[in-house]
Amino acid sequence: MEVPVAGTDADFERFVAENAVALHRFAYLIAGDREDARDAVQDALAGAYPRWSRMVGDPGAYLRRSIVNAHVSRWRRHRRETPVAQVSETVEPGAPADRVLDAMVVGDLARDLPYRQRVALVLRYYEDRSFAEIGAVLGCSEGSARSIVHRALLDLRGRTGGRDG
Amino acid sequence: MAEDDARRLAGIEEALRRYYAVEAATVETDGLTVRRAMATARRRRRTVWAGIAAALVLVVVGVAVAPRLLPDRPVPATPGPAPSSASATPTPTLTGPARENWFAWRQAPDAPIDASDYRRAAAAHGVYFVGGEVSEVTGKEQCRLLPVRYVDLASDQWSELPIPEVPRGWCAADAVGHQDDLYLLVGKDVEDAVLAGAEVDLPTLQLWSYRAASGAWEQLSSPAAKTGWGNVVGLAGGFVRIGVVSDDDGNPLSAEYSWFDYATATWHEGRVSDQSPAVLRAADSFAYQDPIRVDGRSLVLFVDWTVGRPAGGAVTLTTWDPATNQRVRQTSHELSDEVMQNSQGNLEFADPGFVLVGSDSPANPSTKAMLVDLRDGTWSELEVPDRDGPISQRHPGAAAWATAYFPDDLAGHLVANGYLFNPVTQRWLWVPEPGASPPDSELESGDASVEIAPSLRCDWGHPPLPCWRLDVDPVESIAGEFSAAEIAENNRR
Repeated sequence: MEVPVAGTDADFERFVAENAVALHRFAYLIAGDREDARDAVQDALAGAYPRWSRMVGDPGAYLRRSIVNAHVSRWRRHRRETPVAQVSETVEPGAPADRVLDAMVVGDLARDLPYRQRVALVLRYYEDRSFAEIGAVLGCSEGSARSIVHRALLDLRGRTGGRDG
Repeated sequence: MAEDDARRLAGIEEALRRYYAVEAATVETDGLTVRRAMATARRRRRTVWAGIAAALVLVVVGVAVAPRLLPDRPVPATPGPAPSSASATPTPTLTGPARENWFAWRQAPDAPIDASDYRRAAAAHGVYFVGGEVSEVTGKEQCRLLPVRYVDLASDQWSELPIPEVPRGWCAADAVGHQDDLYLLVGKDVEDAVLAGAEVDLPTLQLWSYRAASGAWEQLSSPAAKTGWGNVVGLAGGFVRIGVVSDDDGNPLSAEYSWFDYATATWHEGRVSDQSPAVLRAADSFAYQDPIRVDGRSLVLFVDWTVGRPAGGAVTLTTWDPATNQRVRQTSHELSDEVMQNSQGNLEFADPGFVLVGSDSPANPSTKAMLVDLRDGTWSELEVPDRDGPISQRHPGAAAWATAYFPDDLAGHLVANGYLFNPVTQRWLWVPEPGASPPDSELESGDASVEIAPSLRCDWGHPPLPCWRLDVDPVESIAGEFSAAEIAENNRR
């Protein structure tokens, strides 16, 4: 049993106002396409709204899981079609050039990881989620989430070869 | 070499943080409005009837066109006959809770858990907690190991186990409960490499067992320590670890396993007998965590999703017996886009070998699911209740807790859109949800309580944790029944 959240339209509006940016960015990082990400968030919110009064647990985790589940097809279609130049059009202000290059290379390679690994990395290294929280979104145990993240890092290490050093 | 590996992994972690931060900062929220979400939700309700009409047209057109399209698409397995609805003895009609106060929370002894990172191993009469306290020291997470805790679910009493003086891979080592005993796989392991920067494949894995009857720890034989290993999956006769060997580009090459047999207390290691791409992909993405029982056999189930173009997809289900290293069955099924969108990560399993695909996704409500019988690979389509229909207005689907609370009484039942379905009897049940426990009722959104067991919940925070026990009337006195005809009526609205 989870804690029920308040279920009025005002609660829903307040939640969206406070979380829309974070949800949109999360969706974008797993989708790689701004329009798709916006649609995914919109769909998730539209799906959540009628159930708001009955929703249990953390609505943020609920919506992230909805986005992850709903978006797999779109992301798979797009991930190999995204031009490399689009990977990072903006550089970190003041960062040394070699560090930015590392981030671009690693980030680009992360786009080709299996879907669950990719989602887990975004949750871990963008949202700073605990492994328990990652497991809640992915629908797996905390230990599994830890393993998925670890496996993704090992894959990236293999794919980067000597480039990350 | 170890330092170099750890440095490279830390570099990748840092690069990911920078990359995500920079990329996320480019996202604006233009066009994303709460009004639009609410309007979309309302519009969906209005378009139900239009959707039904369109579906009827599509069915008619599809019948005419489908034969020409089918050869270009994966061939699904033949739908099987509907499971038998015959029941040897008449069952009484269930009508829901027989009395108003059908559940009660009562205060239970405090829990002495102070671990911030733990694993839980369910045993026959209680639950073991193995963990420690994670702290960050000079930029690295470190773990302070804590004693193993055990709660007896008959009395809710907690006890502390002596801890074996062995290294653990991390705060929460791999832990498996079997009967009343605890098996603990400890030592340096792959996870340590990420979080503590240690060598990836130091051969220091150890298996320890805590025997409840004697209250003593015993060190058993050790498995081989390899890279790329996943978690332990506990089955009836033992537990298994599955690992994937990958090439330099991260592509899975082979799936290997270590199987510990409870009866002989020995390890068996080798390559998984099925090295098909579906199994390799499933193993690589850890899509095998849930053990499943098929005709009394306790098996590993590999689940592999293939996303179709431009829509839809397929799911491949492979059952494997690590005790004999034999693939029991592999069955693939084409999925409609509706089911595909709804089913990722939402499989339900039930004895004697049923899998429900596409049971629920709140963001994409669906009334169609696919029911696979793993015994012969046949499948059938299952109409599930729309969560917004009259059935849910009378009895909101909230049965997920019940299968955990009544594992024996509800064995064989699947949870579909929050309702219970028994594929053998074809019986649908609704079960109400108990009100929030005292800790839940006091929590703000975003805080957490922890479910120790289906009957025991504790407020998460500084130890000792206040806990509450849930007592519920027998399931036969709280469940209500509805028919497939009612579902059809429900979904037409």
